[in-house]
This record gives sequence, C-alpha cells and structure tokens, in this order.
Amino acid sequence: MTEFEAELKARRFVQETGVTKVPVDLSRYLERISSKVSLDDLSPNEAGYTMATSKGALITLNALDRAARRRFTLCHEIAHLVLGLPSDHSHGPEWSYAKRPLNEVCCDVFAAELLLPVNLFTDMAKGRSIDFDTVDYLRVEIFASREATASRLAATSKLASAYLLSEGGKVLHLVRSPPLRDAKAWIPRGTPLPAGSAAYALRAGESRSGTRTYSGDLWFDGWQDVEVAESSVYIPDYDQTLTLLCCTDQDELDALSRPMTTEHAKDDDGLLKPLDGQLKWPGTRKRR
Amino acid sequence: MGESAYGVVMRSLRERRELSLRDLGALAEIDYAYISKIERGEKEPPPEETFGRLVRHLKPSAHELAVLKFLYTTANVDPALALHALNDPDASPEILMIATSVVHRGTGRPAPAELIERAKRAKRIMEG
Repeated sequence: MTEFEAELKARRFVQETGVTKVPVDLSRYLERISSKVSLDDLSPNEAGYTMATSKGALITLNALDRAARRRFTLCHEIAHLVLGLPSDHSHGPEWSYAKRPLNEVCCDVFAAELLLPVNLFTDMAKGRSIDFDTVDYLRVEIFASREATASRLAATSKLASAYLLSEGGKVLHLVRSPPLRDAKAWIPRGTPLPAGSAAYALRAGESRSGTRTYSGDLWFDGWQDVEVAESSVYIPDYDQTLTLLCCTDQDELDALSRPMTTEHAKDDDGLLKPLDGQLKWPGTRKRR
Repeated sequence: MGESAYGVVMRSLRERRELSLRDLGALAEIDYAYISKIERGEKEPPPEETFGRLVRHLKPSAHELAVLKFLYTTANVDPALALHALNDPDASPEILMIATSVVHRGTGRPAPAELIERAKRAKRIMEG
C-alpha cells in the first residue's frame, strides 16, 4: 500500500462515517468497525495495543499518555484494523520517526485524516499564518497533538510550506504542501539544521520557540531571491525541533520555475546561431 | 523452521510424563527421530491419526488437550505464550487466540503471563 492509497481510503472512511465537526467524536469510528476502547496503565514504551475477540476488537490505550496523544494512537490502531496492515514497531522508540516502516507511515497518514479531516481542517486553517501560534490555536479546537496539527497544517496549505521534524540537530521527517512539491523543493533526511535558522538557535539554548525570516537558500538550493518565514519549537526531552517553513513571496517562487522569456533569449545571442536546416560540417564527399 | 509452539508443548507434555523420545516412540509405534523433529519444529504437526496416537500416550488433561488441539491447527503462536497457556487452566484456546492476535503500538512487549491476563480482560470487556 502507498501513502496516497491510505489517504484515499481514510477520506472515504471519514465520509462514510458522516463526520461533520471537530473535535471528531472518535467513538463513531469505533462503532463503525464494531470495536471498543479501554484505558490501562501501560509501560512508558507502550502507547497501546489491539486484541481481536469474537465480538470485535478491543483497543487499549496507555492511560498515562497525554489525551491528545491517545487520540492519535486510537486513530492509528483503527487504521491497522481498517487497512488490515500488520504492526511493525521494531524501528526504535515510539516518539522517534527514525526509519519508520511503510505500514506504520500509511497508518499514520490514515490516522491524521481521521483525527483532522481535510475539509474541516482546511476551513479552520484558512487565512491563518503557517506558524506555531496557528498550530496552538488549531490543536485546542481539534483536540490533537502539536506534531499532528503542524504536520497537517503544512500538508494542506495552499502556500509553499513545509513541516520538519528534526532530532539531534538533523532533519528526520519532512512534510510538504502541494505547491512546495510542485516547486520540487526537497530537504534530504539527515540534513543538519542550518546555522542561520531559528531551529538551530533554539537547540543552542536560545529559547523554546522562535521565528525568523531569511533567504530561502538556507534550506533550498537556488532560492536566494525567495523569502522564507520559519517558526520553530524545541522539545529538549527528546532533542527534537518542530519547524514550519513558509514561502512568503510566491512571485519569486514562480519565477524560479518560469520558462525563459524572450528577453532572456536575447541575452543568449552570440552563443549559438539559430538552426537554418543547413549542415555545417563537411559535405557528403566520401573520404578515401 | 524455527521452534514451533506445537512442538514445544508436545515436548513439555512428554517430559511431564517422564517419557524419553524413545519411550514415546515405542509406545505410539512412531519413529522417535520423527517425534524429535516435530518437537524441534523441523516437521509440521503430524497427520491426525499419528497425532491421536501420540496424544493417547501423553495423557493430557482436558485443558492441555484443548491447547494442543488449538496449536495443531493454528500457526504463528509464540511458543512461550503457548507454554504459559498450557499451565494456566483459565487460558482457554479462545483466550490464547485473543492473546495471539495482539497488535502493539510501541516497542514494549509484555511477558506471556501479562499477555494472557490482557486477553482475559479483553474478552470480559467485549462480552460485558
């Protein structure tokens, strides 16, 4: 299964369940798949588990986790049941995004759609800036975690924007908005946080959150003339930085991908002559 | 093939009766090397007729027989979980099936005893 297929299935599932308001009443999803949820005090490295009985599945969540995290875990477990994907959590600690297997990524995509349905989310985010002030407003309304909300904000934005999760000063996870994907802007996994970024400064102990505006080539090659606004927060317990990037100058971004104009073509005069159909190399005379 | 739950439970029942592989082979009129391979998980569970002959001489309790029959027809059960169920009279095949179905979120993995208790709880909640 691909992430795209998981997202389409999630949208259909949400639509068929008839979800029309946030925060989403997750019990409606459970009813739909004849499952129940319970809470139990589990160890810190267990977010939850699901067991199948003859009467349906029971999803048990760690009562010691934050409520917003439990909601995402519940949606993730529903994803496993609906998509029929086996679990694979052999990659590392639950809070880490390092080397997440595709099944888990697909279930995260499905879970995000259940918790933050795209139509409802985009309506709420419309006209708001791409930063953590907006995230903090939305996450209260939606009853979701900061990470899930920030990721969703970037993924559904009509501006060229991105959500980055960095760990130990290196980028681990990137979510891009459709315009940023169209611009073919990419930050490879493992990229160190650039020295001029707010994220870098926060890790150096400046504060817990910050914003900066700078030239986009700090992150993306060739973006010297494109202004980018950054909003970041730092989570010292996990040495993680959450970053939202947003291109504030769409015209400059458009110019990057615009085909060469006539004026530009004139600048090239003298480099190559126009083709005239005449072959320039020696004639067809055979060499002896 | 790795260790199988069926093989591990067979060996436990044989050792409980203090029978050697040769003893059981002689009683059931089955090649002891074949029994050894089943116990080590190198052979699939035997045909029903052979299974019946082995069971006759292993003399399991009703609960032990139920667990053994469940494992005879169900693959991919954790051997440690099956052994725990064998020794817990309340761990019926249904409970063992529920415990086997577990899907974890996180890296924590509970011990077999905890998993069986969680399965009993899941059954209670879903039926309650």
